[in-house]
Amino acid sequence: MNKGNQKPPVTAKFFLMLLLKRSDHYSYFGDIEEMYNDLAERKGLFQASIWYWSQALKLIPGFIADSIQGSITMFKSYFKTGIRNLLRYKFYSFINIFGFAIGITACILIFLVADYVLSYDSFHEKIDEIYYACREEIVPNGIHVSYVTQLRLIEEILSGYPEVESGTRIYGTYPVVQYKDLKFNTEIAYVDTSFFNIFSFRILKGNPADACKIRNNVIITENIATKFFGDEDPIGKILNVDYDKDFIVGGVIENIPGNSSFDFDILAPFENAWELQEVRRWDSFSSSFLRTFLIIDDPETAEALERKFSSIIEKNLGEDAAKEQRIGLIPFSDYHASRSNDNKYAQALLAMGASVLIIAILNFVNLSTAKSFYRSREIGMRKVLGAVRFQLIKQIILESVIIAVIASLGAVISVGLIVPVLKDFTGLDIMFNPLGSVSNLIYLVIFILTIGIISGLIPALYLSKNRPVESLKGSLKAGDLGITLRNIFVLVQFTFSVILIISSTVIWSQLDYMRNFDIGLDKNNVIALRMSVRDFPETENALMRFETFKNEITQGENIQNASFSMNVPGVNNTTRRTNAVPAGSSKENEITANILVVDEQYFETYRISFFKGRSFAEDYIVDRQGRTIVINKTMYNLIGDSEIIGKSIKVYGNLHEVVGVINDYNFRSLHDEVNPLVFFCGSKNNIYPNHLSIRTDGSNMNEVLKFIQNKWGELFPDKDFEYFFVEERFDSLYDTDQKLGSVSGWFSVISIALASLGLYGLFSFTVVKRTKEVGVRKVLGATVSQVVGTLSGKFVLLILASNIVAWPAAYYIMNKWLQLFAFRMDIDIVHFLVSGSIAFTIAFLTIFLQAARASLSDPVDALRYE
Amino acid sequence: MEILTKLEELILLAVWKLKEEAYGVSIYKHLQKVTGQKMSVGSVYFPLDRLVKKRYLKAMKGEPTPRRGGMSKRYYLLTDAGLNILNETKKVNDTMWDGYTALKEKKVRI
Repeated sequence: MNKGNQKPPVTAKFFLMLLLKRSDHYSYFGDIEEMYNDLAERKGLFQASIWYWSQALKLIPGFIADSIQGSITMFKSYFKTGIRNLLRYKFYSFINIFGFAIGITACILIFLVADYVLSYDSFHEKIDEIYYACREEIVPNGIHVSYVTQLRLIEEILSGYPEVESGTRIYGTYPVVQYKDLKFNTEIAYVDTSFFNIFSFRILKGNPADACKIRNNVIITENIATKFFGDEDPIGKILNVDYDKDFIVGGVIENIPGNSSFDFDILAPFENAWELQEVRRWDSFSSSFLRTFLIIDDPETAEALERKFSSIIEKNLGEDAAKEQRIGLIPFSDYHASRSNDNKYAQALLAMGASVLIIAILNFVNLSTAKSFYRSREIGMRKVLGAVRFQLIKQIILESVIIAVIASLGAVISVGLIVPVLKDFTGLDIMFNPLGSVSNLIYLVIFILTIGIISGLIPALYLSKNRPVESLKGSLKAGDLGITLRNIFVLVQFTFSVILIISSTVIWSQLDYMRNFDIGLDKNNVIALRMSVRDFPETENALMRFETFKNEITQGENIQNASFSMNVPGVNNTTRRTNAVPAGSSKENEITANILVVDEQYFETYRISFFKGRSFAEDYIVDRQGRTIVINKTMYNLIGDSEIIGKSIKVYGNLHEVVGVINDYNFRSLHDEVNPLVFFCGSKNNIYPNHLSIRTDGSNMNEVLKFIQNKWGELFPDKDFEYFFVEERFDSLYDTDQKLGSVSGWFSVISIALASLGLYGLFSFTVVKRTKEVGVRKVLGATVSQVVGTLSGKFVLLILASNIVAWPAAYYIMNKWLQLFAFRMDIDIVHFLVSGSIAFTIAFLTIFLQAARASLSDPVDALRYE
Repeated sequence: MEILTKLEELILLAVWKLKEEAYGVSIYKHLQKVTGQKMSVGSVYFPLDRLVKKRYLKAMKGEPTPRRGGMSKRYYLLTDAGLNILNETKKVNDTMWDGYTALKEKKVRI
């Protein structure tokens, strides 16, 4: 028995020790070591160790069962007291749950929107390998990036650069597509055969291997399939495009998700694009009009590739051109972000959601610590009865988790109700389905638990600290230690609220500023009709009918005039751009200008004023021949020649005489600077009108519309009547800003309401605690206003302090936001003063009523209860 | 009278047989020898605890030895109640087994 003594494996021993905490198993521990020694002598150390380990591991199931049983009992007790506490302090429970519910609702909603926006295009499996080519031109006023490329760029890239695995062109058109009697304008994208190897659109019907490979086969989306064929099987049906070409439907793909950068209805093999007039016309390396996407396996080679691409330019356009332009590669994952400000807006939303959640959490923390006064007796009793601190912490955290769970149920229900509204409001195709997938549910549960635990942690640490004797005697001053912390929390809450209020006022002012900004044209009372010769089988015939229509319309009552143009101002589609050089000037003075094609009445219709020279006019044959141009003042300033009228500018390789200079107007949104503009006249440039703008005097709008529609029905009986108001189009440019404005408005209201609710709860504790003090003060002769001052003084200071913190922060944030606008107002001190006083007034009213009530009460009542 | 489980019965008998030497390891070894079965050490302790709780056994602290990592043994003694229940169990067993002769048929392998 007293032979050699081997030591068992340390880890296993430690393990056993952990599992065998209970003292009556202490002998077991000795027994096991004795047997281990026996075994070590007989069979060797190794076997003995394995045996020892196996003994330890065998204990685990029993251990788990044991501890669960124990904790369930305690859990029941904690749960019961938790619920009782909730019911006992109904008002505070309400503030907590309500606040939490709002905070969580806001958070989930914001998360849904932000996730939608930030996950743009991420459904493509190869998203990290997809790049798109862009053209970067060095122009006098910087680098001009355009996202369209040359027709044959892809052939050059794929043949010369093995780093590029594959690629596709995408050329979008919007022709009339016809099936039997059904006719719709439909977006067709012409793509190369590798399209489906690059992008991940799921094919529902048809053979994916053939997709985009058989010349006459097109792939259509589910939407289009039901639009044209209803319940019939679309495969094999024939669609006519542009009154010209027949395609066979070869496959159906899933509808394109809302957060996709592409939007098309029909995919056609690119071979067919060669038959399009414009494609043939632009078949040169100086025309860029379609998008080129590439797959590059190794993203690190992208930069080197960009440099190598210069030889493509050199080969096709000469050495000089290679110095002025290059082909850039941009990751597809940045595609959406680089073309819109959505990501910035999504981040702003996330920040707002987080602020509201923080305010709600701080409310909870604040009220729980303040409430500790009432609970110190319970905590003390638990301690006396043998609860260790960890148990108390567990209990209090469980209570906050209970509140978080109740609040989340409310939040989930309200999110479910709000999502459809939000969908309409934002126009985003968002969905909320917490039970839809396991991962969603897990995220939600983790989120709720995290909120519960985080918000319970501080009260738990704080409450469990109390010494039992003092708390039972009642001599503990309510939350002495918590006061500083609580003050900081109130400060933080109001800081967030003030920042939100300031942001809203600044956003609203900027919106107002833009609404009242003189954009240099009269957008009111202009009706625009979509009239494109592309919608008609015979171009010449269509143009004649267009002319007739315009003449008849202008005869109408309340209609002043009408004009055809390629684009309507306020519509943010990319107008064509080109380089223009004043005659006799060197290439360095080239200016990148947007091209607009208009007719003689355009400037009159939109009431655009002339700075110099004349407008296009029917008396001048040169105008209709396309030999003259009108430029805008930005262009005029860039050229820097005050005697420009009568001189020529080289555009599209030909010299054009400048006949007029118009005053600048904002043809796009106020986010952007005014670009140089060149106007051509008439329709003889092979560029046909897309729109007819009709200027009315603004009265009898309904009759005017009816009149136009009747005329339309007479002349174009088989065409849909599509119209819009130019003013509305202009307003829609600021949709996102408008929405941000109202969202931040709502969030300001919510945050100030939550913060005030918390303040109200907190202050009512203070008042109760200081009842006796107020009584004594009054007996000793303090006036009502003095007492109100003493009670609320500290809180007033806190609110003022939060303003001081909030102002610079809000200034910084809003200044950043305003950078998104080329035309912006200045941030005024008034915004800060107004927002500050709103927050201050609300906060003051919250506490003032209670303070007044306390100081008006009879001091006898306050002092009697001793 | 309470009917013991087979393991409880065996353990009580082992404690009776081992007299003063009845502690965890010796009981475990004895059982293993008699039954010829491999069993985990833990499977002895839970019935032992149960028997102590039912007051059929009494636990006593013994001397620590270096071989046990400095931990003391825990000896078990049969109480009067334990002796009683063993007697009664024996009576029941005898009655139950009365008249039984070992079967001559083929053993059925389980």
